[in-house]
Amino acid sequence: MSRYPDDAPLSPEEEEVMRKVLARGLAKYRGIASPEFLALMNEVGEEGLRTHPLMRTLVRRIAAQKAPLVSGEVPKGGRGSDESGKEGAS
Amino acid sequence: MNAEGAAAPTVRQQTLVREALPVIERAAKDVARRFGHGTSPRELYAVGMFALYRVAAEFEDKVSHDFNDHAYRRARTAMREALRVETRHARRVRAAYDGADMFLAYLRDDTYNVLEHDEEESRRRLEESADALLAATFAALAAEQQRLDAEDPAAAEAEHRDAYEALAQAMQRIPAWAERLLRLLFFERQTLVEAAVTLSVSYATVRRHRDEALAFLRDELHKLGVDRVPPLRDGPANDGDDVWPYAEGGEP
Repeated sequence: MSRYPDDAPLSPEEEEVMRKVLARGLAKYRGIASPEFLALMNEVGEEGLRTHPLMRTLVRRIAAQKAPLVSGEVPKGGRGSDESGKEGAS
Repeated sequence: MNAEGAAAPTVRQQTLVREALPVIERAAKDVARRFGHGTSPRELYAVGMFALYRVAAEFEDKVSHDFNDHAYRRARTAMREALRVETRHARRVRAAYDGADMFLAYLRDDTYNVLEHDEEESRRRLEESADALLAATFAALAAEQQRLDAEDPAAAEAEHRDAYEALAQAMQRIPAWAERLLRLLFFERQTLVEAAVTLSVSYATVRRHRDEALAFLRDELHKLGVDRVPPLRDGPANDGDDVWPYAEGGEP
């Protein structure tokens, strides 16, 4: 059985994704909607992103992308590959 | 068919209902906590059960990814509907949740594959869904506000009067150049091109000045406690005389 609504807490990375997506969406309403409306829309939007299966999946998928540990070009074989940095060196 | 003419639940519908029972219990607790004002979850659970049977009878797989999610949202809407004695603020809160739940109850995306789609595509889809969710919420809020204003014309009238008075005050506080430009644009109804000619500045300058002048005005209005445009009122079209309350003589 599905255990919906999923109320497991979001990770800090997932919270950050959710916060940014809502801030971006709400920016369009600033100056149009009252602060009360904006606060309500944020509250309702947050709950939707936390609990809806599709929204939650998308938030998790985006947050799962780990930031690269080092900057610079990604080698052809992928970061951490034994082949990295060797290609084209001959 | 039973005595009331309704078809008896099919085995599938009974299974859906049975599996959704914990979801309805959760919805009842949530609505009682947020909107109940003393109403017990048990009373709302009964409302939710009634809604659950109706939703199960209507449900098709193409409606939603997940029956339990669909039922949860439809049941919450039914429970809030049962709690109609509310303050104006509570009515706005309920409207926001109603708009969101009715949108989310039907939100699905059959083309998304978590294994195939990358972060960028996932982000695009999330932003699209979030934007639509916020739009549905805003539309529900605006509609409820219109109903509230219609029910209380005195309050709406007072809001308009306060906003006009604040506008007149704010216009006295902004720089003279900003006041003159806004007067040209919004009272004399000049276009940006015409205002540029009147003021002997370039079009780009007058456009930039308009944005700055509006920002000044907005800040002053905020300080005076006006944080939104009063809702539009029904009635005869403006003939222009009261469009600009801060006319010559300063009488709003």
